Amino acid sequence: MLRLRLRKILPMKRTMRVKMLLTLPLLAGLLPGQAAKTADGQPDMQGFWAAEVGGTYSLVNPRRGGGRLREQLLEREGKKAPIKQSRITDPADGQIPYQPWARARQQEIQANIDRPAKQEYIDPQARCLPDGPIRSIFWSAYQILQFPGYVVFVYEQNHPYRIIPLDGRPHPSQDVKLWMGDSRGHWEGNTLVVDVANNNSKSRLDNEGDFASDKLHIVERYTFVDAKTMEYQATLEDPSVYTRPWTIQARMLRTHLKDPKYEQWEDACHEGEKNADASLQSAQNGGN
Amino acid sequence: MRRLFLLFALVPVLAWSQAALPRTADGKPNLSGIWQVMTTADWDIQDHQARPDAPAGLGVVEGGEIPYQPWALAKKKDNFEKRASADPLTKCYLPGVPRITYTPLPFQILQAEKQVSIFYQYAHAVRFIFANGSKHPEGHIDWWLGDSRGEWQGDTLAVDVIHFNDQTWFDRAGNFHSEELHVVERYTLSDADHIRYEATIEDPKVFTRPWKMSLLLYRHKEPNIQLLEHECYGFDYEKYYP
Repeated sequence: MLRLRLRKILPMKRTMRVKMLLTLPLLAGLLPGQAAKTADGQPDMQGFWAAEVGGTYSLVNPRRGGGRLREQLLEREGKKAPIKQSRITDPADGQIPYQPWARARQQEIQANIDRPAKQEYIDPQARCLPDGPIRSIFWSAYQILQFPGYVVFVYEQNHPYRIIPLDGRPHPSQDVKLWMGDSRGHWEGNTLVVDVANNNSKSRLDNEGDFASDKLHIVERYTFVDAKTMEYQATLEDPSVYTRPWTIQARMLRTHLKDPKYEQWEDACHEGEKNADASLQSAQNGGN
Repeated sequence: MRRLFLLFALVPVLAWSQAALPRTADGKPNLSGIWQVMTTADWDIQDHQARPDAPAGLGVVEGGEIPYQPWALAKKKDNFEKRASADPLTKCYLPGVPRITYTPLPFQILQAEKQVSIFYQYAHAVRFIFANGSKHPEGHIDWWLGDSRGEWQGDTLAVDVIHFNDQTWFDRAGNFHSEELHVVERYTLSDADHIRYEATIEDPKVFTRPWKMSLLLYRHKEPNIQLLEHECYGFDYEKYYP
């Protein structure tokens, strides 16, 4: 019965018709608003992702790959590094709206980051400490896993993860502070909205000393555009450091599309890490 | 007639015991949940009385004895004397397998058809147990948590783990292995809230024969239970980042 009707609607060879029907769900995945669904009805964003413009040398001056070293090499050759616009989309000037004391503190850290003569100038990332939710997603490629009631992000560099429950439970007491914050998510259509509280904010936002305090509250929005693209937006609110909330935005792309056997392997960082203390000693001895 | 009655009486009992195990859509026992041990194995996997740095506890080694080669038994004793500073966990290194299972911290299993993911509260450690028929990558590879390939044998998840380094200990008492360590873990739900966990240990450089640990994992049932963090290698540095 069904076969007869299909033959009328799609008058072609049977194999062609089967091929077409098999491709439909794939095509649907590429259309906005038509993401494939997990068994429990979430838009399926599982797999490997990375920021289109990765790296966390700077939030206001990102460039594709390579970070500071590549920047210096290009400038030595008289060339400009690609992609110079700020990731910060609000405020319009692309700068973090610091209170004056906080801007002074950020500039002090930035001035000392390459030759840290004090412990506090060492980028916590150099000690393999977790980068917090914002820096992690720009620094590292990551994997998204979904389970009934959960979305899980696992970042490849130094293996921090975020397990995001979708059941609407409240955050723990704000006396509990966490390197990766405490995340609560819910879906609004094809957008995963994540409320991040309990941030200890001991990590820095980038390599230029940008920071927040443990009063930081983040709202992230991951909008599934199509099967290969996600728009990421995060608003950071911290009245003890900034004059107003501010927003960063970035495009995320699926990775390893041509390598279906790709696996995320162990990335131990702290074990054997010696560079941070070496740079501290070197700076204290007046070297570089 | 009486036989028939017995049969009918058994049906609900059998049905109940089948239903008691949570299962995934593909019919496998569902190990998903937050689990933790109640043993003192992290301090010492063998029977031990209380000492200033360890609570008393019965061991988890089947038969009680660990079949060390003579040189290795001497090294174990030396490790024990130096444990206060030589235990790799005092530096907050990744604990290795199976020790990461019985560190006294919770962990969360999230199970999918072809990959069982385990998230440990200890230092954000993660293990992916690939259960898609794939083989270990070629090596040798020096990993702290090894390479885990799993398969379902009936209602048991059996995990073959190789590619270890020689840096981790089995406990704070100095029990150790070499990079030739080969672990086979078996995760079996005995009821909805308990996993019988077995780890067979093989290491021809250190032991005279394979041996086995056996312990129980308990499901956390607190309604608001979730993993928090245990970033032990950050404790010394937190004060510099107020």
